[in-house]
Amino acid sequence: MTQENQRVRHGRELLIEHYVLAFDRGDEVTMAEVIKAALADPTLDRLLIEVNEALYAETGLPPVDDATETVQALLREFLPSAYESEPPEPAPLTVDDVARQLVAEVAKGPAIPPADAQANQFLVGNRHPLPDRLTPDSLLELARQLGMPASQRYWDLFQRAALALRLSRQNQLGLAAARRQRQRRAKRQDTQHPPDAGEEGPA
Amino acid sequence: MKTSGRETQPPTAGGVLGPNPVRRALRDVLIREAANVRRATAARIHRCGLASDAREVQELCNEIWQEVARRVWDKANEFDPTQSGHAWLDLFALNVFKEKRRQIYRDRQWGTVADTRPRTNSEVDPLEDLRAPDCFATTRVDELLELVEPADRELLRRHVVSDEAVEDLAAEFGVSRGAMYTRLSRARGRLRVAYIQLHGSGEDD
Repeated sequence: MTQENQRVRHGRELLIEHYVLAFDRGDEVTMAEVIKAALADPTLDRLLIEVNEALYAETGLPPVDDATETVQALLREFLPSAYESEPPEPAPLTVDDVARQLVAEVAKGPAIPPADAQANQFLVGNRHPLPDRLTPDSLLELARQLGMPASQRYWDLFQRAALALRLSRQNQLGLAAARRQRQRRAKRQDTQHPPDAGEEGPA
Repeated sequence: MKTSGRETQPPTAGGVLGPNPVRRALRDVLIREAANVRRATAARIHRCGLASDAREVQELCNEIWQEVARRVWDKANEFDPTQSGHAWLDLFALNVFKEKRRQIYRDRQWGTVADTRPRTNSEVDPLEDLRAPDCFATTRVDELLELVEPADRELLRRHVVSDEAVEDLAAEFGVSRGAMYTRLSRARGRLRVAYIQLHGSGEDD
């Protein structure tokens, strides 16, 4: 064993000694200092676990319930958010989404000139993603990439429809989050105040 | 379990309530280390006399663990997955335990915790004398070891002087490595106390 290893080992043994003696006299401050040292020292951490097992064995108490299922059940009950899955990330809006939206608007009335309506039809099914920022310049660049001639009025309508779709999607995400929160709150209240047959209901 | 320990706030801001990778790692740590942390907590409860029987220990232990899980979850953003999850949880457990102990003592009107063991001065380390290269050339090691009981003397001589591994001693004595570390720690503590009683702590000089 090298001198360095020996020094480290003696250091750990001294920390373990401090921990055990602090445990014996109920000195949490010293115990916490040793545990802090174990945060970045896996060997010391492992030794502390074994020492704690020995200290527990000394108490003569029955073995601690090691059942992972029990712990998971408690976590599910008291920390439901630990098990909630993240909402699936919605697919980014594409040219196709906006083109379809404009098709629906055309059906309601003559919002788009016939020539532009024909060009719009050409964009249905195009999965090209929309730019992050829906500015006139970014749409001009998009039109260039798509190689599709259309009037300025069409691109204005396209921009408006795209913004509306994006806003609607953000609202849906927000509503879904709020709904989950409401459901969780209601579930909590049910658990805290379970319906009681003997309890009088509201008049 | 008490309902007061339930989480009261959505754990993350911005409407995304589900666990991110750090939270997932933290949840796994909570599951994996629950038994270790609860064992340590139960031993502390027993040592301080906070519960009278196994059932009470278990109940108090569950109560503390539940509060630990809640606090840990609230502080998830501070969790560093590169550090020991067990130590991180145990620090929370120790804090909650301390609060619980104070509350119970207050309720019982016991005042402060009774410290039945003599305080030791960690600055004084007679083991340094035992580890000195020339210790075998003198009778100093025997003089020092005479300060403790034969059982402690044997352990200290074999581990500190002869440098026998804790694992080997544990196997020979038929105990776990953790139990041997505990015995050695207490033996050293007793040697330190005896040494200070004999020679003084040096603080009066």
